[in-house]
Amino acid sequence: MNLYFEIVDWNPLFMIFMACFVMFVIYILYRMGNSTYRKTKYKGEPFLSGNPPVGEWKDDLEPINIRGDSFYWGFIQALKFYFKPLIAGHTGRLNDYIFWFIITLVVVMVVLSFA
Amino acid sequence: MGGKTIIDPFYHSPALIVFIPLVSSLIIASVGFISKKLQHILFFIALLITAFFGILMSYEIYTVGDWSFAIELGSMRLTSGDHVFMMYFLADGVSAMATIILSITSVAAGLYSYTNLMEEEDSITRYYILFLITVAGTHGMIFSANLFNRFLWFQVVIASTSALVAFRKYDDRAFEAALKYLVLGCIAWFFFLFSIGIAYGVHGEMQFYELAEGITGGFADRIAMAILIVVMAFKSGAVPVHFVKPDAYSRAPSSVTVVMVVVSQAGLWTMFRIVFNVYGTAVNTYIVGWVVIMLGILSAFIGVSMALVQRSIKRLMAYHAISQTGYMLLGVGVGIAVMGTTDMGIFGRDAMVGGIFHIINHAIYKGLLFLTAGAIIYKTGERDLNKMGGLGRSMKWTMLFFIIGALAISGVPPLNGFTSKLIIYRSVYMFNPVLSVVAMLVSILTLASFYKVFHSVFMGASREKYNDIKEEPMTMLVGMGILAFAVILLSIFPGRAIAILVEPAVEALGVIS
Repeated sequence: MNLYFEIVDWNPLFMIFMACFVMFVIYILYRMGNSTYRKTKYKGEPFLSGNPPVGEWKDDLEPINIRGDSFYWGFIQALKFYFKPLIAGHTGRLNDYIFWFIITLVVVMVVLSFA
Repeated sequence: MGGKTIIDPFYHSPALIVFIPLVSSLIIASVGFISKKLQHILFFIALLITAFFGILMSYEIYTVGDWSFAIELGSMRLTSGDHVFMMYFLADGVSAMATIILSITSVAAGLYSYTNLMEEEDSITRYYILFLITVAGTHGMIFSANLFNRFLWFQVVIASTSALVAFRKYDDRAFEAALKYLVLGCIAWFFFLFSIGIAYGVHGEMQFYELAEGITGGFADRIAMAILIVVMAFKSGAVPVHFVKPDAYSRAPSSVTVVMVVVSQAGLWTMFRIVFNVYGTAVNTYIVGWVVIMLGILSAFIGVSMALVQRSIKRLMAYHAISQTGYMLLGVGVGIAVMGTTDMGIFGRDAMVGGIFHIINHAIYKGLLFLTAGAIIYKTGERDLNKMGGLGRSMKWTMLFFIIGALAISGVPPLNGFTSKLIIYRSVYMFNPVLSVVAMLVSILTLASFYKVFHSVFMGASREKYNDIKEEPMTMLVGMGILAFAVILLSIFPGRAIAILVEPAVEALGVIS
């Protein structure tokens, strides 16, 4: 169960045990909290100055779905110089696939001819 | 070599493991008119028996040792003399590990396909036959101790998997993907034959160990090795010969994609066998190692980059399969680069262990992820991440299996993907720190990409059109559960898995630290 290599030591059960221990400590801290706390209407909601109270505002929200394309849109836009040619290179054409196969073959043959 | 004698009951078990699915496919074809359900039961029993013998044979290898044998298939009298056709089998650590991977994944995929593909009643017989032929062909590739035998099984696997990709006759894109896969597979197959011709022409041998004795590292040897490496890189889906993999993986039924991942790994095993067992230190291993490392780094980075911009769930996962292949090539590439030097004992062997452990991890968690993708497509009829959302409420088990697979592939501790990646990072760092940093960056991007899938599919508000969706049928859940359980086992007991599965494979490749 342990991994003891020349350079790597790793024990997953120790990590699981430590995670359980940390959760136990969190539970103890939680139990030590103020037991007289009572949740009222706006307690615990974020306070946004100038906006309507969150409790009322929340009822007007539309159901939200984040589209797959929206994830990392900014990241991909910022690295457009990298992603654009990469996507364009994946043409879906069989001729291109064969071209890359032959090119790779030639390059590897040339390199390994010195091996 | 030769830990067994012919009187031993397990002596011919590798041949049995190849022939059981082949014979079963004929039986299944002939009972199709009786009952489709009977067909599936027989199909599943055939997979179970094959897996049983596979695991039993692996146990024999681990307890008794390696052995090899040949079966005569027939002879022919030509003008050049009498020719005997032999099939050579080799049972060692590599074949044991590969057959265990194929056994687990094929059983899970076979069970999963019961309800997943039952609607395709017209073509289900074709599916059973082709699936079993693919399993037999992959076992054939794994056990072959001879280049020409391996070439024949390679051909069988290319043909059967192409047909399986085009399983859904009404899907034009599946047909297109299958055609591309077949054409490129045939081109690779031709070059494979060409390199075998060179090796046979120079040395008059095609068996690995006999051929290894004659290898001098001359120009012809190096050219033959270069061709073999590129052909097997294509088979394993390494960049820049990866293009057909996303097409084929994304259109094939998910149960087929699971097996196709293992088929790809048979290409990796062949590459490793050729480099270690056949050519060894007769060539400049530092240059060979760097070629493999570059293929690995390109695969890891370009694979994950392309995954990040995909909107089709299965295509995204297909690019991740390419990216993960990069880790395996990276680990083993470092092992090749330091072969025969003192560095092999310091970090080369660990890099090999990491790379090979990643092969089994990848087959299991990638198989699980493909099955979850298949379950989502089966229930929603949708592949586009932009059109999904809120499915976590109705597909709780699928979401749980997805989380297990996604965390494992992203290398989040304490899951098995983390263990193999940790070994790779540390050992590769000692070879070249830049490579290790790139590998870690790929892991971060993998996590980012799977978070995108998780949120797009399972989180957010429920979409009205998915209101009636319920959890998948039990067989699909059990199929996914088998692989999820395997992920957890490999995560909790990585030391055992390495000692039992990986170390014998590394030793079979002739790695001496």
